[in-house]
Amino acid sequence: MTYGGREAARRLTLWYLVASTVILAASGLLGWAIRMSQADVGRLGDNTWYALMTAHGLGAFVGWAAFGVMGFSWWVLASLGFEPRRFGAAMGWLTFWLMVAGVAGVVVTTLFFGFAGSWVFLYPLPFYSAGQWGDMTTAVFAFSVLLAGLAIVTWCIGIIHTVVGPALHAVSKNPVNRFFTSIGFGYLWPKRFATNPEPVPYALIPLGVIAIDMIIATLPLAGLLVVMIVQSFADVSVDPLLAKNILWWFGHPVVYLLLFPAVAIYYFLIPKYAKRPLVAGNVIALAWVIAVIANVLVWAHHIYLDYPSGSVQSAINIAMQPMTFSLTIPSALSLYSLGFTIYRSNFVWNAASTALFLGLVSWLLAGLSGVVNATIAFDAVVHNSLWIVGHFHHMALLNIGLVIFGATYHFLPELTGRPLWSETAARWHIWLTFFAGTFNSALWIWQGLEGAPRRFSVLPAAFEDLAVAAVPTVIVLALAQILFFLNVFLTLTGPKTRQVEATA
Amino acid sequence: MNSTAVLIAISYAIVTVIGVGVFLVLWWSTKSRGEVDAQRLARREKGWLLVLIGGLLVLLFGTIFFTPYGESAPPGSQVVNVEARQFAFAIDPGTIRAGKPVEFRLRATDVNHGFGVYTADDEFVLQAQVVPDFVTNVVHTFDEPGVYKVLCLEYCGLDHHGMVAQFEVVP
Repeated sequence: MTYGGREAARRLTLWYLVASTVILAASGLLGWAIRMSQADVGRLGDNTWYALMTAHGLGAFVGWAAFGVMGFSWWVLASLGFEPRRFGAAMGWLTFWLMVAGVAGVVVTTLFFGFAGSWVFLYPLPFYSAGQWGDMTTAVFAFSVLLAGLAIVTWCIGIIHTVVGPALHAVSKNPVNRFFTSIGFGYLWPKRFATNPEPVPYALIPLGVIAIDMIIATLPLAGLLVVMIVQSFADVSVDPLLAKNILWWFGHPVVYLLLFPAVAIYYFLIPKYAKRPLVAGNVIALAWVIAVIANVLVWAHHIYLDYPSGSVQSAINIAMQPMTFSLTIPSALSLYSLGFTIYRSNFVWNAASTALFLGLVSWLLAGLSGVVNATIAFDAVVHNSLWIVGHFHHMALLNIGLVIFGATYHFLPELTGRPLWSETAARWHIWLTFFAGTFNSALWIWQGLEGAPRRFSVLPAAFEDLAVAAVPTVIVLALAQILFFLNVFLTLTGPKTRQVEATA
Repeated sequence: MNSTAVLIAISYAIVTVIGVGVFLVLWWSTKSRGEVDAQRLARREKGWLLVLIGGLLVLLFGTIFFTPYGESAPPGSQVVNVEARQFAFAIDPGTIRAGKPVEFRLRATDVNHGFGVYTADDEFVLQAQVVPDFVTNVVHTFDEPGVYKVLCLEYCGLDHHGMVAQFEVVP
């Protein structure tokens, strides 16, 4: 049994990687099925379609993308010298099992018991099933999501415990001071948050930021889920508008649970491939100060079109627009730093670095479509249209996803001591995913601009043409992922390199 | 396509072309390797930050006044009550006069719904969310007579996609 240290980080990362890859395979298949059904290829029953949509959303977003980058975070930290200590590693394992149990519960309640409340399970919809599922199913679903939420909290605790550890080289022994030091405050206030002899690695900052934010973001949702479980058996209820706000209080930061660890991976790997340090100064630390505050205060941009009379919601929403705009600053400054780190460098091009480079392209383009969503006057047109679906698939699959693929191709050999099965297959996978995925999102974006609604098992006839046009793209995208699964599986089961065997 | 959607499409196409161009330059630059003054580039972060803040302020003040909240219906406006429930809308009255402001009073009796109005040719017109226990008011003036469709734009369960209604705008 490994209690802590680099070996614990290695094992944690590998387990998260394998589990999240299995979840990708399953949730990807579900996504493929519902996209084909919309194009009238293998039409699914309505509740089946919506149940698959629910499972696909939670599975791909939390079970794959979030779980995947959460896993790589352990290895990035260990590679920076921040190895998990005993408590941190224990939190890492607790996270793993809570997440696996939570995802399993979501799979069972959706695929076997027909829960189809969508992955945002907008209260009180889980209790208005139109006869498709019972309150007990809602209770088990809510409990399963609660487990996944607790997994996020335990991961955050483990990450915070690790980043304030001895590798921080902070002068202060005060844990609060050490935490703020770990998220880059020393770049702005070097005396108060002093480190000796080295400054905080840039790659450390996004991990501490998201860890504290996700604790703040998840606990109210956990409360809502507990109430939903109780409501399945007793006569209690929640104000629907309050519930909506609580959901998005979590629902926005969880997007950055995917993005910020991915940024840490960019900060860590891009300089290695460019063979020069990250081109960054103190300003980027200021951006992360903005991020740690704004990330938990911009939830309402997801409900810009909720402005009922007699509530303060419209005032909250208007305040959210400039706050949301401010959140583009960490992304824009990161892209600046990463771009100039690559600029005229002796950049090593392989499957992993290509994935990261293409991920940066997608980060910019998906970020720009996100600015549209963040602008109330524009959101009034694209809200709940397929534009939103195009935007978040662009961000989740082609920014975060490509980071996960790149990190897998980069880290898997050192995690397993085995060479990557096929660099060629990896390159094909990356390029096919990038082009097919981008085209796939572009179709959704165009459909959304035309007014096509999201979350429709059967699209209105006027919007069906492009859904049909997407079929070949979706097939290519799915086939490309088979290359990834093969590469991971055959690397895991392949022969060890001589060097590793000698040191094992 | 809705005129705002056209504006979004053109703007997004332009920034996409510029963005892809930047990355092509970046990729090409790695073929002509050379030293860069990393310290100078890091210092220029501040300049980039100022450019960014300036751009965001322009976008903020260029759009915030078009926020569709709080528009009050002038005296004498038409009032249309809309009740949304799984999986139907009740719209009363179902006929609206063109060229005259109409105030939609939106209510939901069960779960969250969306009130999305489209022309008969499926061009998007307007939308708002309908939250249970609240009334949402939306004011709009229809210039073109004709039949308008209403779609639910918030997922509400089994027959969400079938939750369609219509009203007529007359001269």
